[in-house]
Amino acid sequence: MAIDFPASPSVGQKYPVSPIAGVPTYTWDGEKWTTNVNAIVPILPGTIKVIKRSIWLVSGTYIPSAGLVYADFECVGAGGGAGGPNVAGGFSCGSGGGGSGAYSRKLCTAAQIGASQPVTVGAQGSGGGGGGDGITGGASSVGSLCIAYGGGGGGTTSPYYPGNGANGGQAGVGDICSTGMPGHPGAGGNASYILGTGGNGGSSIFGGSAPGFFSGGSVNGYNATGWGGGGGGGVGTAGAAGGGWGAQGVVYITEYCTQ
Amino acid sequence: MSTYIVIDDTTGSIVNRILLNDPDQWEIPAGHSIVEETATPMSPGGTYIDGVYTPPPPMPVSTEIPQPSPEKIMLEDHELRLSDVETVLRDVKTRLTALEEKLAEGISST
Repeated sequence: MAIDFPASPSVGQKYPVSPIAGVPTYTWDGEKWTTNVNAIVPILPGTIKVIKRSIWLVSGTYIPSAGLVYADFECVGAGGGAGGPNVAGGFSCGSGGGGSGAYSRKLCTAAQIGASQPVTVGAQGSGGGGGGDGITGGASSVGSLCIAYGGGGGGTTSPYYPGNGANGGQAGVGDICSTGMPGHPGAGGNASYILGTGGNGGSSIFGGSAPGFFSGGSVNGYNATGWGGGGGGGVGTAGAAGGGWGAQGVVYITEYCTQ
Repeated sequence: MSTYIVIDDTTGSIVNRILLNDPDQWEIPAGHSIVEETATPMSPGGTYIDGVYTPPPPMPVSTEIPQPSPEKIMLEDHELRLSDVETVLRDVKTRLTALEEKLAEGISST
């Protein structure tokens, strides 16, 4: 269900007015809408005794811990690779940076999770070879409950023009779903006047994108360093180079348990 | 840890690219299959049909040859005019030399 808060609310106003299963009730406090997620599944004082966190860097199967009440899933899609430039004589141009992976977060009850859920960790997008676009990053997810898509691959150059930056990962599935950050386009032109510049990769929620740079030569782009970051564009000056690689995705799981 | 692509069995579309240690430890979504990526990186959005990878459509790029800037056109025009002036000057210098020689001959004959 889409959340469509009323405009100009009064203090104490509730949304939605009539309770809807699975949707918490929000209250306007004069500055912001607040909610108590306990409204979904009430927690008695002292019920939650243990909080466990796991970080998944490879795909697998999540089996809830004993006594699980809630699990908070956070997914970051993988970053896209940058394009690889291939430029004609007399020109110096940079390729486009890769987009970052999107971020999604979802709070689930034990009942929603069931006995297990597949955890998928998106693979980093490879940088394009000279004259090729970067590869799109993979999506990270916990079943179909929480999904974050990967960033797009950056564009290669034409013989005379720089490459386009890629889109960030599109919004996925969860309570909170942000898109990824686009990669920056490259720059450049006639090598007599301009040095080619590779585009920055897009930063994920963890940052970690690869920087762009300028050069009068043909140089590979930098790889992203933080989960979900996009790869940096390379520079071609009367020649070809490779694009930087994006960074892999990640899945965090925080469990709230009675034991 | 290896990279696998996830393929829609009906269309051959590559729907994801994932990291996996052991395919037996991951539940493959119904109607899909996985293939380990070896040498060629394969992108979501492409297809993998009968072992043949087809990448997604390339990003649009401009392929036209860039035209010179107005500054460069003005510079080239200026250089052309300068060349014309130099040609005229050389011609004037040649005529002057010829006149000087005739004058010298006239003086010596008188």
